[in-house]
Amino acid sequence: MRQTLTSWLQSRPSEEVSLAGRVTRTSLGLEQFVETLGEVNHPAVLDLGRVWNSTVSFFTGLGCKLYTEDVFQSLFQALNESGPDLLPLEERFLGSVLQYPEESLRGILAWDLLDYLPEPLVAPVAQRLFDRLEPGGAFLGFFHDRSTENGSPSFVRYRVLDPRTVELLPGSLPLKQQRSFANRALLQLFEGAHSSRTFVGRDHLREFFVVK
Amino acid sequence: MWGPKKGEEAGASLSERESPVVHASPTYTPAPAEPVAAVAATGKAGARVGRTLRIKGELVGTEELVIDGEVEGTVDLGESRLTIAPQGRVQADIKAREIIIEGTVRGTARASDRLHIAKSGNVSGDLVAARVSIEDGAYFKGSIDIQKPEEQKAAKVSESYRATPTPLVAASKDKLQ
Repeated sequence: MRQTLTSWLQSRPSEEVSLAGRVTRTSLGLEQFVETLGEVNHPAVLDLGRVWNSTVSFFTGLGCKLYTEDVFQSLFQALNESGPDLLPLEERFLGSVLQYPEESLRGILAWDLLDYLPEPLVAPVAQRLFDRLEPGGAFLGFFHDRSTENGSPSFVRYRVLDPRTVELLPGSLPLKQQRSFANRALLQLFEGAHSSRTFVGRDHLREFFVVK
Repeated sequence: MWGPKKGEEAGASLSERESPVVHASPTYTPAPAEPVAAVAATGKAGARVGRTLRIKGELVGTEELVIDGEVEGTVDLGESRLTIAPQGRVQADIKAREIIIEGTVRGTARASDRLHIAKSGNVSGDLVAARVSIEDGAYFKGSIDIQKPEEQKAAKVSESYRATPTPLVAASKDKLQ
């Protein structure tokens, strides 16, 4: 790794960077995720969100090879396709996304993707993501509780600012949260995992961190 | 790749003196307003593939190039700068010292120095560069690998070493065993 987590933290100013006007959250899951990457040389990381320069700089600065695939956009397109000879959603969606060799990735940042997937896609997508992780690799997902004050949460994008902080930005895709996962359901989705941890935030967002 | 636009017709020839060199047979159409050449030298700014031009093949050169049209194949500018303008469309493996993408690219891009994707950029492929910057709003799908020039050279040597065919004698011997 070109820059270790420790050196990154030491290089930060003593005061927190001013983030006035920006919505950020401390992410303990991300911190764990980054630590897992540091165990290997030149880890491959997949970000399932939109490409952001800060995320790219962060992971490439750590010596990672970063893959970016906006699966949210692909989902939106698959959900809105129409035509007479349209294949079932599962075939169309899974045939076009996450085409990586098995056990080729050290880390996957799925953000809150699973919350937005229609039911038939949840298990196959979770399985495909898990299969793409190498042994010891990490998965980080965010999960909304439905009981937010304003009902279903708005669709947001996430970008990494540092090993403990992600910024939330309003997303333009009209995706709706499909469900609120119970912890047991998440454990079942990744039942082959070596270990898992859940971090609960005050903002009704749970972070689910899995090591294969 | 991208089919010819409505109203486009085959036409003009390319001067061999002009650089970058087009090795393959290009298919292109001059714009009515720019009836000059497929790849036109533009003084200090280097060469330019005009907006209505379409080139299939291998583009090699040592001067700056701006692609405003369509290119399919390979582009190798060595230590020069390549700019894909907002209307430019490239489906190719591209190499240059500096690559600036404002248009659409499908393929592998390798910059020995800097690679920049502007807000208007739409890129699918694998990027290798010493430095990468991406403006918010750009579309990107693929991988990003930061390699300093010396690392890129080492990787190239390693690739060519791996690509070296096994000597026939050794191969025969292996088969016999």
